[in-house]
Amino acid sequence: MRYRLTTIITLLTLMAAGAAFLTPSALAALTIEANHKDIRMNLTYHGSSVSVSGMSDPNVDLILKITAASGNAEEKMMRKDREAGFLWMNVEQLTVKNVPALYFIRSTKPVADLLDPAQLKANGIGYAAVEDSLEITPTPGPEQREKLLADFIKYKESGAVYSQSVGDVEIKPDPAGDTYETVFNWPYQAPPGDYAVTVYAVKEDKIVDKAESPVTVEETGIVKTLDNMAQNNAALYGTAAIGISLTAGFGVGMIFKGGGSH
Amino acid sequence: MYIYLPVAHTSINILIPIALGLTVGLMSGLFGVGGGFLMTPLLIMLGIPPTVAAATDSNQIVAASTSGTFAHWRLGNVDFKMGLILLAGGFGGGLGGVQLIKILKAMGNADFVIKLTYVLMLGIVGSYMLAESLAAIKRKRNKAADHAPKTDSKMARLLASMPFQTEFKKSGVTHSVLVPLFFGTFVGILAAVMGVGGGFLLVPVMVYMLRMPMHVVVGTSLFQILFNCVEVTFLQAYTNHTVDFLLALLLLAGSTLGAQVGTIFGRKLKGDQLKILLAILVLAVTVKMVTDLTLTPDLLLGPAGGDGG
Repeated sequence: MRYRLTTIITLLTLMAAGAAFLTPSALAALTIEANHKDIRMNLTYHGSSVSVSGMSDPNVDLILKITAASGNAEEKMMRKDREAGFLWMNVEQLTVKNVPALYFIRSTKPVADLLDPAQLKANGIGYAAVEDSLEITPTPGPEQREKLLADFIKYKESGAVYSQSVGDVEIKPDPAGDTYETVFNWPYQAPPGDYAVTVYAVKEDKIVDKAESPVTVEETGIVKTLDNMAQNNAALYGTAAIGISLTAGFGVGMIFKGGGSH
Repeated sequence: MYIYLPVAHTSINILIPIALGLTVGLMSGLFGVGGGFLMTPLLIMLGIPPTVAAATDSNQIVAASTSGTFAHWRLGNVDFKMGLILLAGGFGGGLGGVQLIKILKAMGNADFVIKLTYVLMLGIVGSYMLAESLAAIKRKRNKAADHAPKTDSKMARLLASMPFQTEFKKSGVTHSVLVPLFFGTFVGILAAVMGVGGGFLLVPVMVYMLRMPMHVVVGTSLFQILFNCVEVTFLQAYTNHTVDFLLALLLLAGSTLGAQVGTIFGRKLKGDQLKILLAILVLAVTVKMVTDLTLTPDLLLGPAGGDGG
């Protein structure tokens, strides 16, 4: 009886150890924490610095992604081409759908080395996945689509709202599991909305764990008041803008009159 | 110090728009142009969305042209009668120009026609003003001059033969009411097609076609621009929600001051000197536009609604 009990306990222990090795829960728990979860756009707002940190297993690679949590936008773009042989003109208006307002990727190794294209696409990781999800109308040919998408990503990068980099994640060994940290320069160009910061733990070409933290960006104070007024009370906003400009023009004129420009 | 612009959704150093406003306001007071053809591209370069840049520029021009008109009115340089007739023509021409753009867009070659018109008009106006002003200065030096350019006598006779002749006392000229009405309409059409206020077109028209003295031209042009920009600002704010009032405030802080300083400087310069400076400015913008049109752009994709003025 005693022999049987020892055997059962040993078997259960071995099974637990095996299961732990085979499933994500075997890894040290993946956590994520953003230091600024609520970014306020006030009058002096010039972007923010968002530090993302957490714990991870020592044996995994990490991919960190920031993107809009809610629906992606639609943008109108102009395509340039040569006219009359030598003049560069806007020749066509394009509508690009499913555009993420913000798209940042940081990883410990190039994402293409960590996951196969199908997994990258399924999880929306990397520029190729973003390009895949973009819809362009009128629909261009395959070659032109490739060129347009490359230019679209460059345009977004120049506006500081897209970036993808390798090696900017600092990892510190810790007996309880590694700690990681990366700092994102949150651009002022990112519009108000809900964003998600996601960390993926990758091991042997597979995502073995994932954690997410929300970041909300919202307008406050006079910025919110003026934006709301411009959108929802346009007639009053336009009249006030004109009235104040006229007053300012006359005001300065009166000051100079007093100063004696004659 | 940075400020966040609620409609442009952009943060900029507070000093940059003030300095831009000061520079463009200075030119406004000097030459009687709104400066939209300079300010809008500069704002786009600062990262302001093109549609917001164009609309907000109109808003700040309201302040700069009010300041400039007021300064010129005190100096006796505004011909209100002429300005109102040109304005009436300009409104009609603007409506016609908008319809013309619709037709061009439907034909699919609007951008080509607009840019080509822009470059040609700027080039022709700038070259003509420069050549004529240099010739006038030369004539004066040879003491064989009178201050009015003597070119098209046929044109002068034609204008004189038209009905509804009226005297424009401030400008010291007599024309048929139909003449400024026609030229106002013409400039209005071109301004609408090119997406600009039209000051740099109206100034040469008043100088060479209506034979007005340069200083009265500047004041009257600003008066006309003021009304155009009031209309454009309201329409942009109401229909497109693209006027960023905070940005306009920063720009007008500089431009209202610049317009006053420009007016003072303008008084110290002679009419021909002013024309030469304006011609150089217009030609410099032409060269910049031709360069932009011919050099291969870095990106073949850009935001829509952008080329403004």
